[in-house]
Amino acid sequence: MAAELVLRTEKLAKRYGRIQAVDGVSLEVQRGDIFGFLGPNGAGKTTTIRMIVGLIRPTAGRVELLGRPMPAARRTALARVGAIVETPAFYGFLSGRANLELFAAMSGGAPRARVDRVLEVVGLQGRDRDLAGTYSYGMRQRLGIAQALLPDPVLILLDEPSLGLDPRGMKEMRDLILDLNRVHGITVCLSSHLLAEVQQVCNRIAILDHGKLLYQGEVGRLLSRTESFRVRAEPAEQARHAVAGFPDVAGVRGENGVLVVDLPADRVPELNARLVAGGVRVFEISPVQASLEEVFLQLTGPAAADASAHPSSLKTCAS
Amino acid sequence: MSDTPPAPAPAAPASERAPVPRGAGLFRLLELETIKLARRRTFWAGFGLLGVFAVLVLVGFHYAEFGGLARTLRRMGASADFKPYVNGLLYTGWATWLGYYLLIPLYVSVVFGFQIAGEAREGTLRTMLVRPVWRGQVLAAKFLSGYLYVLVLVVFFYLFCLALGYPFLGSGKPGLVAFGKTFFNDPSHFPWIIPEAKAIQRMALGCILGSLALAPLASLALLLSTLVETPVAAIITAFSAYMMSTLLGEVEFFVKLRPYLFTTYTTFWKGVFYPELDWREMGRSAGYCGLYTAAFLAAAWAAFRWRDVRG
Repeated sequence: MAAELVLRTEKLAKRYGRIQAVDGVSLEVQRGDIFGFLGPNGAGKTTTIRMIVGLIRPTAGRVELLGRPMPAARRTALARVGAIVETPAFYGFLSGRANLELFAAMSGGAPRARVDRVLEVVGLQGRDRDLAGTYSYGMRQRLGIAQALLPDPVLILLDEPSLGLDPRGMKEMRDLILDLNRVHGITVCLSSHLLAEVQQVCNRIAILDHGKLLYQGEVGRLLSRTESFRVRAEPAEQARHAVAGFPDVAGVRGENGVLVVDLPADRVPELNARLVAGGVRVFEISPVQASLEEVFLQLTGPAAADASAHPSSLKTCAS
Repeated sequence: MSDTPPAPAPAAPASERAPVPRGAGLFRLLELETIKLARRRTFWAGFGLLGVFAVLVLVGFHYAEFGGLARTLRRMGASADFKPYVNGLLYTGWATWLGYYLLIPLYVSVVFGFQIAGEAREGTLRTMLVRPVWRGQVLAAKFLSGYLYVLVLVVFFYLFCLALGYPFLGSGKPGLVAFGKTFFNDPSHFPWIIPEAKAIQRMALGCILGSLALAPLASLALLLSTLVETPVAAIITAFSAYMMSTLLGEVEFFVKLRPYLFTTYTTFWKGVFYPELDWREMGRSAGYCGLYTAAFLAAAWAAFRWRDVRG
């Protein structure tokens, strides 16, 4: 059975004059995901999120939120969606609680118990009567999440939720996001340029650069898309000669007595057969697991920028 | 750091969730906008500024040398001395007349110029618009709440002036000297006296009509607020447009421009201080004010509906 989609964009595009901020982005977020939306600054993440929630009108393309077209059905769709777009903004002259009550009223109202509950979830009890203008950045982020949680959402969209937080705040934010997903069953879609954060909390990601989607799919699948393999074999020198003479090998280097071979994955069995036939004892051939940072830089670095002129060379992978 | 991505959460059955709420309607939004407006310092600053202005006008009245003016008017054909009628009513009429020239339009520009651009600048507009609210209702609520504020401000100004004027200037000869164009229209009948009870009714009418006459400026400021990114730009542009239109309307050379200037029609409320109420003329001007207001509001709605919220 196909997974239920809570968010779908189709060839979404936004142009500001001569600048193409977002260029044909098609995303699919499944119910239950913690979906990471990655990209360097200026990649078009925030613009995409703004189009998703109806703050900005797309130049082209479609958005479906909880199965409803945006912005045509925005009132119904947004009733079950929480969102923080950029820095959470509140009325500084009202208390945190009064802000929540005000935004809850805009969503059709929330009982006092619900406001208490979301304040508890984000850990702001005891400070809720203070003016929002006196809150620290981290507290405002938490209040932003509380506001997003008020309508008992199916999906929450968080734009750079850890931006500006100290390491402790970032850890707490990660824990909170995992808690929202695992305990409360909320699908989370977060944008970030913090790769470690995304790698730790997200199960699926999309990578955006210069407004274009470079990859979409599972994190694990992206990381294992490596074409480098670790080969442990003896005698080492004989193994090196055999590997170097093997067709399609792009490079061989030694690391701590182990060979690292750049080779298309579908050629690995033949390499193994060649080594064994040549009298080499093979102990291990395993893919080299790249970090998300390496893959990200590979996709969005200068080489990728050149390659973007030839999209076929970027292995955009629909899940 | 764990490289293992977390397991996705199980989908929560729809039946376990609360029913889908409906977004706030116009009246709820109006209530919320009014609460927000009342909690801002700008709200109270308006009362403070008008209060100070009323006191300054009172001091001016107290020390004014009306004798010389009365003698001049007599020489020019006035039938009687108006000095005995310098009382709380005349002071209130003059203070509000003067207030409507500058301070109240300035405050209208501030309040309505801030409504959209101010919230966009503070970022709260995007927080608001990601809730299930209809942009048309948000705009309507902002206009109506701003208008409510203007009405309260004007009523406060009248009452404050009356409360200051009677104790400090006394009631003198009861009645209100009709002012405005009366002297120049018919000097021999000057001063026309509007009886006290009728004068109070006229003041109440002045409150209502004066507030209605501010609608074109309010809607223009709201339109500008939907078009620009900073509230200061909306406020300055709206107030400048008001001043420009007023000044051009005062210059005799530009008489041909007058029918097209919105401020030509926004002074109709002053008719309440004339000896007789000219309902026909006041109704005509009020109609034009309504047309300008409708046009500015329609443009504001179109601009706000299509506005990309980037701030």
